[in-house]
Amino acid sequence: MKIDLKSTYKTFSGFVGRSFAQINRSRRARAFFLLAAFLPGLVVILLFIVAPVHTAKTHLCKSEEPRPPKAAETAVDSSAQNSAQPFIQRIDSLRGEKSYYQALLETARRDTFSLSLNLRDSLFCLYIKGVPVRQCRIAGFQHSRLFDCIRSHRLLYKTNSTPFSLQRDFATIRKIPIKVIHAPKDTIEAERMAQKIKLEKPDVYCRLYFSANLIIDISQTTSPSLAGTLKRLVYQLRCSFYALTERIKALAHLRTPAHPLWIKIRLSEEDAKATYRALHGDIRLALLI
Amino acid sequence: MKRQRFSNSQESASNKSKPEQKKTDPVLKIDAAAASKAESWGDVRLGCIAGIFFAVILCAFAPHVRELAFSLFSAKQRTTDSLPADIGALKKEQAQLQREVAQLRRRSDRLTPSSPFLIVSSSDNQFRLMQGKKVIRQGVCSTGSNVLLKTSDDRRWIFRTPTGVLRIKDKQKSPIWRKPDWAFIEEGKAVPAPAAEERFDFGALGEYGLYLGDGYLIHGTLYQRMLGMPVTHGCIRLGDDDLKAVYLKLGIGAKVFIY
Repeated sequence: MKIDLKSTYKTFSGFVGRSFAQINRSRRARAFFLLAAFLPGLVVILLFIVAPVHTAKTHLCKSEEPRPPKAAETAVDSSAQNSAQPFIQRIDSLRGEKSYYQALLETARRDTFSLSLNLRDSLFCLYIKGVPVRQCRIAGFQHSRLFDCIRSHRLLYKTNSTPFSLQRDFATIRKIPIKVIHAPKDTIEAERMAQKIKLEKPDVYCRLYFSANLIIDISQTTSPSLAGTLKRLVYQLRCSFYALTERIKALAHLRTPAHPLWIKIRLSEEDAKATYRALHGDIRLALLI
Repeated sequence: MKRQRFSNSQESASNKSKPEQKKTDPVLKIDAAAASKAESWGDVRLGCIAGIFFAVILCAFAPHVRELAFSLFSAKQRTTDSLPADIGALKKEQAQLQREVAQLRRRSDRLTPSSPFLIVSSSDNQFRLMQGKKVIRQGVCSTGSNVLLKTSDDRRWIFRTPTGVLRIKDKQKSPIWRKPDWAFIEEGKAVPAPAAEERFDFGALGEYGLYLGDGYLIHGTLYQRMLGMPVTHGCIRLGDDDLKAVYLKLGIGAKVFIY
């Protein structure tokens, strides 16, 4: 089929021209148009951008510790502050580690299966009763900038010292790949049914939604096949739809939709598949960032 | 005169038509109001279309805009702000935290058994024989095929390896397999009586068997080429050498972690 670009352009420009001519005919028309055009955008900006940022900011400010008395600060000169800086950083790091181990022990005490994400050592681990049964090397990761804001904030240690519990997950693979077989009537049918076993090589992408608005996005290191790309597209649409419904639910309950604390990690297909398929029941995660 | 007369007659005609015009004015006014109302609605409709389009685009980019906002915003108050700037006090604080972290790490490490244990991955059919944090032996195994076998009389079996922590409950040399009903059903054979001779299979489970409970075993196989594939009915199959090593290393009560 040949597309006539010239006529398409003419039709489109004609439509735009007519629309703008209609809008430009009076001040009132312009006012009506602009009001209707900017109102939905304004609502989106307020509800999905301004409100979540403001909520996060106020949440952080509320959890601030009272500052030490001014007199103590004035007594310390800038050189002392500089020499104290490495200690302060080390203390920050140790506090993070402490809360991570606290969460890890908490999961070991109660859960059969648990996860840990250690971004400092680039490790994603699966535990059974506190025993690391699979340690996956993270090939690469990205995280929300909100983590940078709260990296050394006490809120992060407070949140991290209790494990995050898994609430929802989406993936491009099935969690239990069950194959249903009907019993053969005789030995001939049984022989006919005995097929060659196909080893599955799926493309693995999964997203784990945890409590406290933590989202862990796992993707494989290699590029997907064509079928994998299509599955990934469907999976991304499902994730987007879920995120949208959650926002709408939050608005319906008069809550501000919060900004998620997302972490994207890349693992090998085998690691991603094995870890995802091991997640059954109440799974909790310890995080070290 | 004629012209004047004509003009007069024209004037009179125009004067006659004036009341008629006056009569049509309200109709025209109504038409104009309706038209302007329709045009306003048209503007609103057009604006709404543009606005929804704009809002959808904004929705898609909202997370990125928020990320940008967070990069500009920094939490001014840090935990360490409440720490004393005195070096001595900081050193003390650091030492205290180091002690606490080391203690927690030790507690976490103690959860790993010091005696030999087995880790089996049913996802990629691999096993690791461990002692503490040391890997003694590793290799391929076979686990459950995840097949759900259904019969016409609605009996069903799922061939899945159980996950979690199991323990070795019994160890046997040259175990004998007492075939359950499904072994006959899946081959299209008639199910024999419970004590029938054809139920007992000698040698199919290899030289050693480690019983995990609920009918699940770690055993050998006649089909070594199938190792590494999910083909079993829930048991864990190992190669001959691996099975011997596992049998010799794991005692009764040893833990088997399956995921």
